[in-house]
Amino acid sequence: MTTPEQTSEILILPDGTIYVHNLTREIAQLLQLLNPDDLQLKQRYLTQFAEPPEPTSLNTSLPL
Amino acid sequence: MLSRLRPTIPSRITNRAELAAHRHPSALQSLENCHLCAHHCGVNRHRGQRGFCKVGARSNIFSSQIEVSDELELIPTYAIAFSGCDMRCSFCITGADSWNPSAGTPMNVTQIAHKATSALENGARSVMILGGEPTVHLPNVLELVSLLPEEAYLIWKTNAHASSQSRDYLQGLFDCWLVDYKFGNDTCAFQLSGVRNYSEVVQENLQFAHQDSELIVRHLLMPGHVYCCWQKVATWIAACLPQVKVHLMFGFWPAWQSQKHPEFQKQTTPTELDDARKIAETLNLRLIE
Repeated sequence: MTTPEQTSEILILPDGTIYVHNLTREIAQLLQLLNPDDLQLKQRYLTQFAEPPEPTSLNTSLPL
Repeated sequence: MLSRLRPTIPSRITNRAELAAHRHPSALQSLENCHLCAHHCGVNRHRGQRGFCKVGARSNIFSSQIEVSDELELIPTYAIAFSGCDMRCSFCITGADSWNPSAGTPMNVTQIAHKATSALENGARSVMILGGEPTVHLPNVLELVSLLPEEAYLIWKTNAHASSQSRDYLQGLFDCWLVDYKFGNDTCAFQLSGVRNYSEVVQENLQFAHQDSELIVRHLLMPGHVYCCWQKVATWIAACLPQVKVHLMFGFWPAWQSQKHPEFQKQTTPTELDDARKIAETLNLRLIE
């Protein structure tokens, strides 16, 4: 079996809980926009920056 | 915008590339009578024989990318996942790739080292070697490490089922061991992962890692295993490695072959989560996220 080298998996439970495996910053950004109050996700999305990034929309890429 | 990125984590290790390159020929030769993990299969992987892990002399990579799902102090990390593992955890979230040494693409060591270096220049703070289980790929890991930047902060993410021979090859090469301590007793370990004598082997590796590098111990809380597994794991850590950082993970995902086990037909309950937290608090564990 061959798989792509870059991959993330998302599991959404019926109660809305979202689990992600191999969370990339792009997926973190997407999920953070869907649920801005999720502290765990916010920490992971913001942690790559020395300062919080500018607000973005779903259609923009990370400000790298 | 690069100036806004967090700086890479400085490595404390010197002469790592030289050490890894020096050990590589011996590790490669060791595959003629493989004892890299605690299964001690003794097969000749150069001659096509395969042991428990089914891995040959060459390695495949099934994932290599910058990730932010690991411990906050380590991310973003460039994670390189080797295909093939020496454990058979029914609930493995990457079971299809982790159990299959042919998953992904054949490792091009120069190319993957270049990608890791590029990732460090573009926001990754560390490089993480994982699997599957990287221990069974040690010769190729050593070759990779010999090509990585000396200043890179390297993380060894492992199931801690390595043999003493592997520990000798690994000594002094990694800044951090990130260890999955999965089971609190040998019965659960055998039933859920097919491994015997689990506790003794893992604890030997944890003691070694604690002496050799930074150590972070992970435990994925499994439904129905709070007291038989987490409480036992937590109690051992509190007694033997009391200052070690512990990441108690709550995101159990009934993946792969979880359906074989009745307790995995459900998520961990709120009561189980509370009980697990109380165990950590009572034992005064140093929890991190």
